[in-house]
Amino acid sequence: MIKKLGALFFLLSIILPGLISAQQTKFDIANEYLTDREYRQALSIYHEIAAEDYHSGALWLNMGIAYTRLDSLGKAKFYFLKAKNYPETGDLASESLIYIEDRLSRRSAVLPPLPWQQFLDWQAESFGIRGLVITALFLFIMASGFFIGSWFYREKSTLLLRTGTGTLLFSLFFFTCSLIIHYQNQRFGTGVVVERQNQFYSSPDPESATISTAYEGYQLSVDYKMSEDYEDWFYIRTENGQYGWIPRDAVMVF
Amino acid sequence: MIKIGKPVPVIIGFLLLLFGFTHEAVSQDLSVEATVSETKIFIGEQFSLSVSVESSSQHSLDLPQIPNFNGARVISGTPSRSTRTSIINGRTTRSTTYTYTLLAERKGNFTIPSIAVRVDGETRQTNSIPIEIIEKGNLSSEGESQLPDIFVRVEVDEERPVVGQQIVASIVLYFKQNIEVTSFQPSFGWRTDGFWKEELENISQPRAESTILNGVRYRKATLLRYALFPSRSGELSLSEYGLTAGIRSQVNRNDPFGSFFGSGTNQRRVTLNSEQIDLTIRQLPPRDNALWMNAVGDFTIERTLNTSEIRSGDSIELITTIKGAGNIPLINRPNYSLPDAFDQFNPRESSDVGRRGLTIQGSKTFTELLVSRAPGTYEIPEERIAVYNPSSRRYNYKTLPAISFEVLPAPAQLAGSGGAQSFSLQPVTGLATWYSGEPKPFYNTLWFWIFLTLPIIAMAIAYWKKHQTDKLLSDRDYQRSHYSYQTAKERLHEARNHFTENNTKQVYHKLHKAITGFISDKLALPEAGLSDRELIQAVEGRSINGEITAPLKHLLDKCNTISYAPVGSKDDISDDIEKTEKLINDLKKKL
Repeated sequence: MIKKLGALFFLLSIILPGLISAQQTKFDIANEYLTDREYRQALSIYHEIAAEDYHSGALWLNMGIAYTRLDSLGKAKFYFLKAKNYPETGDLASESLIYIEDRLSRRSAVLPPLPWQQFLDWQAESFGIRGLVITALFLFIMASGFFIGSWFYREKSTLLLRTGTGTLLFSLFFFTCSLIIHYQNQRFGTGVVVERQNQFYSSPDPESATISTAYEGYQLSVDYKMSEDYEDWFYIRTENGQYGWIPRDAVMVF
Repeated sequence: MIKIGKPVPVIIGFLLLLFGFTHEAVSQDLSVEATVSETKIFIGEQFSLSVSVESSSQHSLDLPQIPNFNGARVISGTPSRSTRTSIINGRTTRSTTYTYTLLAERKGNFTIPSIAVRVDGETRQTNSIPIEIIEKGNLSSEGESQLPDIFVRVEVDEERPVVGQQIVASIVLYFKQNIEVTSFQPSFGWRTDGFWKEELENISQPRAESTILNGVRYRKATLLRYALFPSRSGELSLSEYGLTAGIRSQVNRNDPFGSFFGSGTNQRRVTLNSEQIDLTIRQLPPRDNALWMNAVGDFTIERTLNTSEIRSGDSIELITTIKGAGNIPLINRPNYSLPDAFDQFNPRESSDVGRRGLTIQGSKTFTELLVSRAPGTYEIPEERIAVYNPSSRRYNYKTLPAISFEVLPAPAQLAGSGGAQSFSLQPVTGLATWYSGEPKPFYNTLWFWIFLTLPIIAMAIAYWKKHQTDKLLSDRDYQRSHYSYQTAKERLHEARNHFTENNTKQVYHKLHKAITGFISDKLALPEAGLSDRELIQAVEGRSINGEITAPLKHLLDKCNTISYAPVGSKDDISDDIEKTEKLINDLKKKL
């Protein structure tokens, strides 16, 4: 048994680094293409890596740079937004996004989000869902301790009970926030218009009334639940608060 | 002295040659023509036959002799003679016309034969003219009354065109012989919904010509012509065409080919409306896989680039030119598949549309302005374009070849545009942190459920413990029951101590206390005042079988009678202690 486990460990120690380094090797080759201004070849390899379900902040950032070089600013913005979610590339991606926004010929008016949505966005950005859940669990354990203490340490019973109740409420608050953020992440995606311009409509039909025009680089909120019955359309909300339907081909979503 | 050869024969030859050319030119310049006022004539009706000689110089003319022919006869042997001289662009034209009045006599189709005209002693022949003589008044008076004296019609040259095919709609004014039209003014608002309309410019001044409608002679004049292009299939209508005309009842009968706008008195204005025209527009037939620009007609298409090499950031023009006759105003911009690395700006569109004649013709040019952003070699792929030709009722497919061009790097090119916000994007190289797949939601992880349930379990246990403690403090019976076994064990321990001290009576006293105390505590019976019998009955009342009550009775009896009985051996006393301990353990399980 020990021999078998040893053999398995040995095999894995040989195969796993090889599998991981395969992505890295491709990534290095693509980076060379990128440095040599062979943007299309570079992108072809980057897409190949992504298709194998590997991702990293560096991959998305370099894809954004390649698309910037090709002047496909909508796609560039899309990949920079993705890279922004990774700690190792978050700052670089943010700087790149400022640069892209400056180069976009048309920019959407942005309706400020409601305060509670701002607070949720801040939490999601600062802690992430995992961080919020861990905080909620930690507070929940603390609250349990306070409650147990209040039952047996009768002299400080009231203080412990109140502290426990407060901690429990905080725990529930953070847990509720994480649930809302998780729901929003599941239901809504972030989309970027990648075509030069595209109209969006009041219903999923090009013959229906036009709401407005979305230009390349416009950031959208895509409602997956509303869109699930339509193969070729996304139900979207623009940054200026307009709702409508846009052809799926015009938007990239994550 | 320079010799020039024999001058006299050369000069004579030159003169002869000059005369020959002049004679030939004169011959070519002279035209003789015969015309009639109407080609369809009623029996008994008079009509005119004119013989015209037109030339740039004066000639000696003999009076033309009209040969006899069937169907009609010349009324007057002496024709009226008129001459006309015109100078256009410095060229003088003289025309002499002899007009004969003829009378139609017999029904049928006849031919006015060629007429001989002697010009400067030379005989010239006119063309022969076919005429048709018909009976008058074989239509009912009702049929005649259906047509007013003057009316306007919209006449189309095609009643079942396909979408995009040009049709010509002519605005034709019909009026009787005794009416003369002095002016006309089209009304506004001729609705041609579903059509693209272009007015044709082929009519400078309308001329009237004779025609017969329902057995009545009318004159008709085409006032305007429009080119119409249906934009959708189905049933489409051309609304009534409104016209205001100034008319006069006097007719200059001697000049049936005279000016459409005559002069005279008794003028009045009438408003006329044509009837609505319904047309059936057919769909275009299905076509092969090709780019469709909505081109219907006879067209040629070319596609060029203004240069084959540019610098990154510069623009290149892709020019598509469509030439020919057809629906030029309706042709759409070709939607080519262009390389991604280009900014496309709104294409320029220019057209040169000719409206003379009966067709719209000219050219349309689309100029796509592409701005390159990345260096490389690019190719605008080959395109196959479909054009529908309504004459042949088939699609013509034109293949535009692929065009390659080179985009060279711009000096010091980086992604930045060089503006104030210029920013050099540097790729991340080296080892990257790789992730695979999407992270599981938190509720699908083991750690989440462990850390969620642990405090719940801890609180549940703690609560149970708290509840027990509270009960011990507040409930005396529960407290006795809870500690009964512990108390019994302590009493047994005391009994063993007395046993080691050989204090037999105290041993049995403690054993008795251990048993009775355990039972009364466990069953919440009074701590004192109960007899052994009552305790045994209480135990028996709990449905405990004889295996326990028998040793209980035995031990209690022994404890009560030991003061009067002889002292047993040490083994017996030890055995009783063990039996008591066993009994208490059995009772603990059962009570």
